[in-house]
Amino acid sequence: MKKLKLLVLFTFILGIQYQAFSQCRNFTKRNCLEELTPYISNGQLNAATMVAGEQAEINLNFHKNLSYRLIICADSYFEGLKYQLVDETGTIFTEDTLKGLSSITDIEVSESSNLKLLIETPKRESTTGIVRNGCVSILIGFKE
Amino acid sequence: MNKLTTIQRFIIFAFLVIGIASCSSGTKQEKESATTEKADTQAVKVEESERTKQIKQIFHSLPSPIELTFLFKQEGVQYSADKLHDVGAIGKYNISRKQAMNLGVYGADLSYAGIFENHQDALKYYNSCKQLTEALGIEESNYSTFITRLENNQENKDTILSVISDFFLLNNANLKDNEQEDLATYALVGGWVEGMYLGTQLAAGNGDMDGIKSILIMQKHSLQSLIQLVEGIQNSEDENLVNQMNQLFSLYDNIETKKADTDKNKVEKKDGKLILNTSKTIANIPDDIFLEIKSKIAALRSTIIK
Repeated sequence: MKKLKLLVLFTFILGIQYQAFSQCRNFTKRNCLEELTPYISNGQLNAATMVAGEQAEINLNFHKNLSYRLIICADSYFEGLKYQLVDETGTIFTEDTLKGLSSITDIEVSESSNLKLLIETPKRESTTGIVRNGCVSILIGFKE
Repeated sequence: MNKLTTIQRFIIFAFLVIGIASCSSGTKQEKESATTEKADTQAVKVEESERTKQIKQIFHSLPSPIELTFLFKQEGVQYSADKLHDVGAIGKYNISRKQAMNLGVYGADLSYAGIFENHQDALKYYNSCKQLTEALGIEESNYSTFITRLENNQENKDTILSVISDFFLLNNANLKDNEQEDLATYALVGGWVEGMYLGTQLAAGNGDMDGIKSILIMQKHSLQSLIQLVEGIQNSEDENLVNQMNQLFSLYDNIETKKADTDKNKVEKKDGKLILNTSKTIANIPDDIFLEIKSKIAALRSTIIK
């Protein structure tokens, strides 16, 4: 009986977790995806739930002769999220903070390069001890 | 000390499970050590020291087959239908792992046909992809609108590419929504390998190989991401695939690369765009290494489509 209870609980919690990721992707589809137009999506929905003060990074290939649109989209809880686009030596090409739900940056490069996008969600004090999470997604599009 | 009640134990357990699930889901998390670079240019350097030993989420982004095709086409690659995968082979893909990989392969072929405006082939490969999405259980009502849009916009390349990219995005999202992240990875692998296969095969004999080689250099990071993603699945069936990918990756060790000195930190704004003055990567890929890379990609593709 005890094992059964645990199994039910485990399933329930995984269900909540699955729901959270699914909601995150729905959030992205609802709030951010349309902003890629007229750029062509790379076909990947990079979305994850993050907690306050957490960091993320993503390697991005930028090819010369193509234009790119980079969209960072996050839960309103993460307004003020910091992001930087850096090369492998650490040179910062652009950095900013998220205002509102999304940030759109259109980019071209003089030479094909692999750059890294670094993200840090704002730290939030929790008075209850419960750590809240929120959705962060990164969308990439390109065009000739 | 008071004993915890059952409810309290359940709550603690619940938080533990959520914590563990958060760490393993969606994106791979890795510990990053700080790499503080000495400032030797006028550019600002990233101060990562404070990030030492913090946990980072690692997202992976790969060029779509559409982007790869664009790049190879810019370097003079031509369309050749006989290099595309046989649509008749679809019947032999009976397990979801193979179906997902070949969804990626046929998706890359669809991109090729679409970009080179070969509408009949595009429709043929779209139907193959659609069959595989059905087999994978990710088909939805939106899919029927894609075929209509493809058929109604045969003269409009931009719309066709938009349909294809929407189709890829929906597949990726649906696989992830169905808790099939692994299958989403396999589809990415198939798409990337087929895109690289077509580019390297069809590049043979074309004049300017420097551009082709430059694309290959840039794909080193993509290959690394794919290896990390597939290794993360921890499926013993992937052993051969991972070995082949690692062998391909090791060929990059034979390529000397260096950054040309350019005037860094020039970020201009033009027509609302950021123009980044990035350093040129000078790479010397000897012809024999290029041929080895081409051969390894072909072998990888054979593994995927067999």
